[in-house]
This record gives sequence, C-alpha cells and structure tokens, in this order.
Amino acid sequence: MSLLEYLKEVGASEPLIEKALKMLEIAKEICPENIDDHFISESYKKNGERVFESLWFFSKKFILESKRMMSKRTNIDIMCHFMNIDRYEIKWLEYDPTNPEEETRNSRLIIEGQLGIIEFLMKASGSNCPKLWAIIGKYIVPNIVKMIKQSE
Amino acid sequence: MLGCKLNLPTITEYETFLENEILKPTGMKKLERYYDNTVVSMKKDFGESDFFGELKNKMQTYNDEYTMDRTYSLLTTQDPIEILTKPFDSMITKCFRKDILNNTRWKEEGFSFESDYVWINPLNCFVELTDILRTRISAKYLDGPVFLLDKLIQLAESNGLEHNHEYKADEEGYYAIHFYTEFPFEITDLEFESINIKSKVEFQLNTGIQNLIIDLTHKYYEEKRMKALSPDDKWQWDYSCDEFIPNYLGHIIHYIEGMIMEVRERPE
Repeated sequence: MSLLEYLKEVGASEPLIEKALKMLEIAKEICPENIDDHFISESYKKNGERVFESLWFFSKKFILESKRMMSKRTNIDIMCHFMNIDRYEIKWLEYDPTNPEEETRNSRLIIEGQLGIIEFLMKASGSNCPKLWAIIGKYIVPNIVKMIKQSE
Repeated sequence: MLGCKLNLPTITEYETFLENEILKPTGMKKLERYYDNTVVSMKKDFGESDFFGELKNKMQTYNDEYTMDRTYSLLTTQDPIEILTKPFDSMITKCFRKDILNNTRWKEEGFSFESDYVWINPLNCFVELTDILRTRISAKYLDGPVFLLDKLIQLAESNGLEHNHEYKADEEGYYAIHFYTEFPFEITDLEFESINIKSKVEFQLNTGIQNLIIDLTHKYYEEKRMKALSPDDKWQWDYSCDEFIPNYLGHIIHYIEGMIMEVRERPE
C-alpha cells in the first residue's frame, strides 16, 4: 500500500499527508536503499484527541524517523537497524498479537526498544495495529534474532 | 438601554399585546408548538446541509493545520459540533429586549403599541433574530477563534452563503467572535404552506476558559439584559453587587489569555 493510501486509511488529514509525502521524498534522497515500508506512530489522548507523532520509513538495512509530524519542525534521521537491535518490549491492550488482523477501535499496540544507543518508540491504535505488528515482524524481530544467532 | 425614566411596558404587558394583537387568533400556546416544530425542522435541515457536513469533516484538518503551524492543538474538545436551538421563552425574551428595552422608538412622543412598527414575534422571528440556531466552537488559545473565523469565512464563501461577523468585547467581560451565515430554509406557515426564508445561524467562537466564565456569569447577564437600567446604574462602582466579580473575571481571563499567548510565542 502506498504511503498516501495508508495515511488516508488511518485517517490522517490533508496537511499531515502533505507533510508526510514531502518527508518521503527526503527519505528517498538520504537513504542509500529503496524505501520499502512506512509506518506512522499515533495514539489517543485522554480527551479523545488522536495525536500523530513520528513517521517511520524502512529499507532493508535502514530505519528513518521524522519526529513531531504535527509541528512546524522538519527533521529526519537515519540509523542502521540491520543486526542492530539490542532489545525491545511490546505492550498491547484489547489486541491479540496471535490474531494480529483482529483489531478494534480500542486496540493499542506499542513497541519500544533500543537501536544501538538510540531508543525507539512506535505506537498504534485501532486499525493501525496490524500495520505495526507487520513492521515488527519484518524489521525488528529479524534484527534481534540475528544478534542472538551471532552470539551463539 | 433606554432607561427606566421612559416607563416602558413590562414583559407581561408585551406578551399580552403580542397575544391579543399580533398573534390573534392563534394565541401563544399554539404558537409555541409551531415555533418548536419549526426550529426542530430548521435544525435538521442545517445539520444535513453541505455547509455543516463540510465543516464537521474539516474540523480535523483545521486542527492539524493549526497544530502543524503553531505546535499546539486548536480545539479544547474532540466532541462533535452541536447545533443548539433557542427555546421559545428565550425567543420571547429577546423579542421583548428588541421591541421594548432597546427600541429607541419609545423615546418618540406618542409611540405606543398602536404605532406603525414591525414587532418581532414568533411568526417573523426566524428571519429577524440571528440566533434561532447557534453553535459554539471553543479553542484552546486566544488566537484560535480568529483562525476559526477565517476558516468559516472561506467555507461560507465556497458554499455561496452570505456571512458577517462581530468581534464581541462587552463591558460585562464577554469576549467572543460571533460569525453569522445566512442560510436558506423551507419552513411552513400556520396554514402549512411552504415558505422560503433566510435565517442567520450564529457561530460563537471563543476559548475554553471563556466558556467557563460564560456558564458562571450567564444568569447575571440575562438578569441585567431584562432590566431597563437607569444611566446612573454603574455596576463598575458597586463592588458589592452580584455582577462585579463575575464581570471582571471575564476581563481578567481575557487579559491572562493574552499573556499566555505572549509566552507561547516566545522563540524556543
């Protein structure tokens, strides 16, 4: 699914989509590989307001983050995730990771971990949970598993 | 206000006049039912209109545009915009204020209920009054209402609707921007014949904190508006009167909100 289709599906507004597409162009310029995937971290405040936070891009070996999407700030950083994930913790609420496509409006999924010396945090709610679960499976799990295999 | 020296009719005398002269033979009770049914129909029509639908759909976009430009959230709540209708009694009270208390014609010698004048009443109020339908959108910060005003103007113009607005800053500490859009409605008259009218829908744009003050001070505001005050009545000099503290709260809050903006806009 393209970034545009994905963002529309998660309910991003036009100003956010516009900024995200610009960030994608920048990501393509600064990443030495093809950008294969994307994910937008978001959560709900207590007052019901949905907050979009960081926009993530993934290639085979690199992970890019554009922080504070809902601000004037324009920024993007890039790190190598290939065999570089030290630890991660997954938390979920009203969501069954063994049935990742079965989400509800109240489903929440969070992953936080360490990428080298940098900490990362990705949050998903509702229909965005399966997307995050897929990202975890494709880009996070293989890169800690490989470290374990290396140390054996 | 014209002042109590003019010996203006009371609200009871006004209601009696309406019932016996203007609303005859229908009577106030039947008209109350007619009014209530009409505003329910108007509320439904406005709620289902393209303009209102577009506004509801765009609130998230407006919020995000504001947030991405100014970092902070635009709105105080994610609750849907609610359309409120003016209750019948409140409408009669407003007609009384316009026809009697604030009507400068009463200064003319000989002006009375028999004079040639178009009295606002439950039959023509839908056109004459600007807040039969109203809604309120509250922003978090003081620059929010102006931002929302700009969006409402754009939306009204893209929908081909007439509009106007007022910056309210009353002595009584009421601060808000009132935006009006003139909307076409098809209602029925007392003979159930369809008539096309244009009625103004009022949007009150203010801040969340000012909303709190409005809820606290509303009853004092309403009481005062129903009195024919003498020019010598100055609540500002009567620190023991009921209005003194609530009214100044409104001014103080507005000032503090300005100071909050000043801090918010300081460079990082």
